[in-house]
Amino acid sequence: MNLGFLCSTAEPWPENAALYQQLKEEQILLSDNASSLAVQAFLQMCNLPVRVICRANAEYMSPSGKVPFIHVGNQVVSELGPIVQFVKAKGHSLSDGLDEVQKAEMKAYMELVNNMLLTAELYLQWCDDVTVEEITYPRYGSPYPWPLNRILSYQKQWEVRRKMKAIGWAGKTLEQVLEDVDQCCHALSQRLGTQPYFFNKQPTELDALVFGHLFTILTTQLITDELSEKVKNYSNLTAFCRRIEQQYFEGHEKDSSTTAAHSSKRSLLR
Amino acid sequence: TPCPITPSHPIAPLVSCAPDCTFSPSHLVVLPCPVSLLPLHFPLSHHTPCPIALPHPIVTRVLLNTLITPPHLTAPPFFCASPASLHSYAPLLPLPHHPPLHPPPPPPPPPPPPPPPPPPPHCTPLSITPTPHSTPFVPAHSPFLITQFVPLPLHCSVPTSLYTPVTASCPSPKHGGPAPCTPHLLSAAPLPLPSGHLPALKTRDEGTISKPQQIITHLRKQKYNADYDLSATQSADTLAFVSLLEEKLLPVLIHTFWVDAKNYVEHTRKWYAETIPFPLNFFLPNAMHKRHLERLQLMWGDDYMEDEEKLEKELYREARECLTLLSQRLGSQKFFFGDSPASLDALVFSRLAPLMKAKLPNGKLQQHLKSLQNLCNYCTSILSLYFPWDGGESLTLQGGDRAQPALGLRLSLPTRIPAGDPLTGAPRAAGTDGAEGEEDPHKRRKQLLSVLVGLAAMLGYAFLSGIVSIQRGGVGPAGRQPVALEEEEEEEEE
Repeated sequence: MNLGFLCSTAEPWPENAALYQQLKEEQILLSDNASSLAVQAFLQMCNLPVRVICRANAEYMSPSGKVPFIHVGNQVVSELGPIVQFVKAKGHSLSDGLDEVQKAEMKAYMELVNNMLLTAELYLQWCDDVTVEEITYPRYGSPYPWPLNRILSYQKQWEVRRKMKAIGWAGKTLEQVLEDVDQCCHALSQRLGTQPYFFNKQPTELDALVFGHLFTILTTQLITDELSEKVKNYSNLTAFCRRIEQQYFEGHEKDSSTTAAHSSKRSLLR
Repeated sequence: TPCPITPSHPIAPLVSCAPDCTFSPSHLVVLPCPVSLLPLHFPLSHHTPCPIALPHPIVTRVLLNTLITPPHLTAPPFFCASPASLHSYAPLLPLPHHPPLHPPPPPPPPPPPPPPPPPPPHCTPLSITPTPHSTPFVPAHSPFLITQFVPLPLHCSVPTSLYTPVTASCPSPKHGGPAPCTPHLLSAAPLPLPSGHLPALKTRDEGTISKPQQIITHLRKQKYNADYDLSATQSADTLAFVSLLEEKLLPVLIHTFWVDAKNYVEHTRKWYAETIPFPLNFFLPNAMHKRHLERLQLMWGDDYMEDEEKLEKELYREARECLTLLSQRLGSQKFFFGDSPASLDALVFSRLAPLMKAKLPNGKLQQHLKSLQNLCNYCTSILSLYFPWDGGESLTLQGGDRAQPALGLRLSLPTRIPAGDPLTGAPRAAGTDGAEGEEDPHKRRKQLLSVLVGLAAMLGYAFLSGIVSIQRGGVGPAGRQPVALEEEEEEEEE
């Protein structure tokens, strides 16, 4: 988290703002892709142009160690939370129209997504042995030569496993994790109901975050389809993802070959 | 007899109302422990180091009291302010093994139910299935702090050295009363427990369950569910707010109590050390401190742990924001979802109450909480509703007479009760008696132990130095020594 941006509120949003993430085709993992997509969706919703730049060492460039991060002017901000605040400081905000109770709920639901969906994604890609062997190890260290790729993968896995233990997820089985994902989706689905967005008719950062995660889950091919099946059970969530994709990413996709982007997203973790 | 209340009715009690249904609750014994899952504890005053007791009874009691919605929801006596009426509704009398003693209150005619799922074929005990739309949400890793309630099926033999039954039993569930549990205040160390973790719920059928999550699931299987009449959106909101609390507030609370140097040294460590029995009080608080420190390091990353200012500014700011959000969400309602408490209330209360009550030297977060008046009132009202004994009231243990309704225990009570506490006054005088009473079992045990240790030391010395020996049949080596000594003595004498 980086609070230095508070002093640069006067400058308008530059044209050359850049968002850094890992290499899309070979390297990026499920959770990072979800976070990155969430930020992209948020910036699209705010109508702020940003270029997506893929770098193999994006994780190390980031001030907090997490991707994605944006480089705006002379500020570098990572993670959705601080980015939202940064953008707000610049004068763009999606959640101004909400009242206090709704703001509280929005924050709570964002934490829910972070707590459950993101952690489940991390669990799946770092603690589930099959996925780790077949998908994560090959992808995570792909830009680097042997033995560095193995070492980095092991290191990251060890870190993630420690964190899982700290929050109590280490003892969970895959079924329990999927169960949690299901509950989370159920909660989101209930909250969304039949509305186009979570709050009123305007999207907020919660919509961006949910879209990022759900879209990634739906369009990523893993060893099994259980995770995406859980999300597909809720038709209003899939409709929600489709709606946001059409509204905010259609134009984007026309620039960078549409089908390639789609198929790359589909075969993201192969 | 036909069941007057359709089980599928959303506000119907979760247990069948057949008058002769015999609900046999599992023997739920909960043994508190100051370990990982429940980092927050608070005594009601500085002099009542009951870290082990308090968060658990609070949460559990709240949770369990709300678990069964009474038949006449329109005027739920649970939730009225005075303990007297609480007792009048939920009499402390009937113990689960005397179900027929207490005539059930007549259930009121239920209001027209919403389109129900097909009702079960007959009314049997525990045959009620929750309506499909209200599946209970059990968040992933939320430490719902159920602990410390034990039913009084009083034939369960409770070794008094370990347990001290704290409160009266609850009526049998067919009256729609609270779950049949009694809190057991354990000031023993966690070692005797199988998993070494507290809170722990000891059930008749399933052994000891020590994760809060599992305890809740178990209780839900037993048809106790505080969230039964929440709408789906409200259940979703519960999940979301639980995540908010766990992500934003809980780590900062852990930091405030366990990692912040001043607080830890002056308050938390002393508090635990005073209550945990010898010899664990020397190293258990430290072990917990290290464990919490490590956990925070993993959660926050190293640069936060090193940079105090950054930590203060950002993380505490977020925690304060979280408190403000809770306050905004609560508004002027009595509980988060209207007039009846749900599991979210239990969780929020368990997080906030220690923060509110503890006397922390470094209390910035505490001050912020105190500035949010509605949260303070909320905590105090729950405290007075569901934890009347913890307010400083002493209940006397009416020793062997188990049919007595009001079982309690002499708690080690505060001699100084904080001003904000609603239940002061008369019980205070009895407090000092209570304090002595509490000490008694331990005092005797300590005396006995010290005598035994002394005896053992003396005997050991006597044997080793040969003053005393065990004479064997033949001339063993042990026999020679005293003989030699005697010879020496004789020589010396000579």
